[in-house]
Amino acid sequence: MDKVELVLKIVAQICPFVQIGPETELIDSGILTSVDLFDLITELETEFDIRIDEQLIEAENFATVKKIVEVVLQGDDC
Amino acid sequence: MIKNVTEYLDKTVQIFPEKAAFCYEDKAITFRVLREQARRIATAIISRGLFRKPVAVAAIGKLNAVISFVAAAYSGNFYVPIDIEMPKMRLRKILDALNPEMIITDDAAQGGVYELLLQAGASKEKIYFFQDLKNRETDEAALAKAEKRQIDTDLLYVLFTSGSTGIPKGVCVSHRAVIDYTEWYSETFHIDSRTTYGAQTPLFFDMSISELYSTMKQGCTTVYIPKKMFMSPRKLVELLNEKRVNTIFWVPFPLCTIANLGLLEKCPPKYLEKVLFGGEAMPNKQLNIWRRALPNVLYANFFGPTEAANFFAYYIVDRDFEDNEPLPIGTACRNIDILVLNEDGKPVEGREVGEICVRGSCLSHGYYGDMAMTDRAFIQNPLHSDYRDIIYKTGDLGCFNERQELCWNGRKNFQIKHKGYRIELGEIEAAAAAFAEVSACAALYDQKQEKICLAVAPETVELQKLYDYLREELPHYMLPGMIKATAAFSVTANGKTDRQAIMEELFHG
Repeated sequence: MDKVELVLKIVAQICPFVQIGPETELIDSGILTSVDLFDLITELETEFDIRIDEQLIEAENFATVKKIVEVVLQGDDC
Repeated sequence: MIKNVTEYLDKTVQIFPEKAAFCYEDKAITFRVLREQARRIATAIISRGLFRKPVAVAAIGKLNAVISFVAAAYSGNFYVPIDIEMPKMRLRKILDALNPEMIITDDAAQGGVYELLLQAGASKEKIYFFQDLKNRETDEAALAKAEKRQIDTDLLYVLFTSGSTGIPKGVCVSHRAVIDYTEWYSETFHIDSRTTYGAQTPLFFDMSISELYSTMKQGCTTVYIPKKMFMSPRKLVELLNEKRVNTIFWVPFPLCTIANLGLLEKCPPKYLEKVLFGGEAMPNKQLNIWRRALPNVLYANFFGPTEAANFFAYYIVDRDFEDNEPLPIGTACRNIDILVLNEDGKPVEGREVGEICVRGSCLSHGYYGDMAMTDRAFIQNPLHSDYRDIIYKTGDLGCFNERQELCWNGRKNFQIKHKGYRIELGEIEAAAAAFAEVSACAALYDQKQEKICLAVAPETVELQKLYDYLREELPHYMLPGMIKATAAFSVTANGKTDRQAIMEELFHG
């Protein structure tokens, strides 16, 4: 599974029953709430075995699955 | 003797007229302008012929909402803050219960909020635009008349909370209850004109009244923090520093996030003097991270439901705790009496656990339009029948520790706190049960994973359709994180739904 698919899968687990594609707007649409965001970060860190630097944690960086993949690529390996 | 919270504003305008009272992003409003605009809008409300009536406020702009609240208070009416992100079906239930003659919005006609109001059953003639109201000329005589008639036990606001039957409950709070709380809180925590708040909670939650009314009383400055900031923790802390915030009164969740990300070392909020929290249990693990990084800050835990104005018990952190120890709730605020009663309605003894009940001027007048529910929750003090002495049964369980501090022992019923939100699991069940295919359902809370789980029967329920339906009925924070369909529910020996078994079988498998 490539990274986009994997991130899509993780986001879908956190936000069930919502149609999400790689470019679906997640933040302003209310799909991903501030509470979900930190669950997502924990899941991403576990799944990819990385640490996401807190400086990367900003609403804009999590606005779409594609953007989230970019954050993951910048994650520090554990 | 104060009988209306607006008297706080009147006094503060004399001392700090040009000081910024409330700020949001790049906008700010001074005490003088706040008072002036509120009195103009109050004149408009009075000219509608309203007195002691609900004024719903569905504002997009935070500052416009605050001005509208104060306007309702000046006019001798009470405000009802509306969460504009609520689905229309839920808003309809609230508007049906309230039947307001006036709904103030700052949206444009044909805007999203305006449309939502119409779809929730509001009639066009009852919707008023803030932009028009604030240009109304002030009628001092009419305002003086309203001021004279109003008394302190009149309502200041009604806040709608989750209802276990599926209908949100409107908690009615008087000026007196808020004055009682504000006096105690301002004095005990030395809130003064130096205080600058970074406010987190939405205006439709009771936690917001601490900032709102102490700011008016003491001449503080409240900076409302945009919601998105709570997704960008570093920016959040930078904002606290930029605005020189020295006091925060938050739910635990954002405090824990900041602690967990190591921000307190990397980018500490250097002006903070007071970190106050409530609404949910604050874990000592994260509190200890704060205490190690910022040891000179005052930390305090607050406890209490919307039905008792804001909080009725508090604990100023004065000693060390292990990471896994719970924080005490502490002691009663001044002028409040707490009773912990066992099943027989007698005060608990020693370390016995009982239901936490409260009496005092802080008590709400009950639930709007629902005397029956009010009578169930607000009862005669069981300790005597000499005179009418009302106590509120919180549904929270508690006991006293060796230091005579009150400690929390969970809930008696199915109310939960999920990420700071108060939710009746029954409200979720009522919504699910109304979905055609569902024959039975149970909403459960996984405390460890902090997830709302919904089990439905029969197996054939189409989960996507059910979820789409729930999105129309429930606010986003009540939506289940997981839904499972099953043929039948496990029952206990006496035939009741076995929630524990359902949790094990369906959600932990």
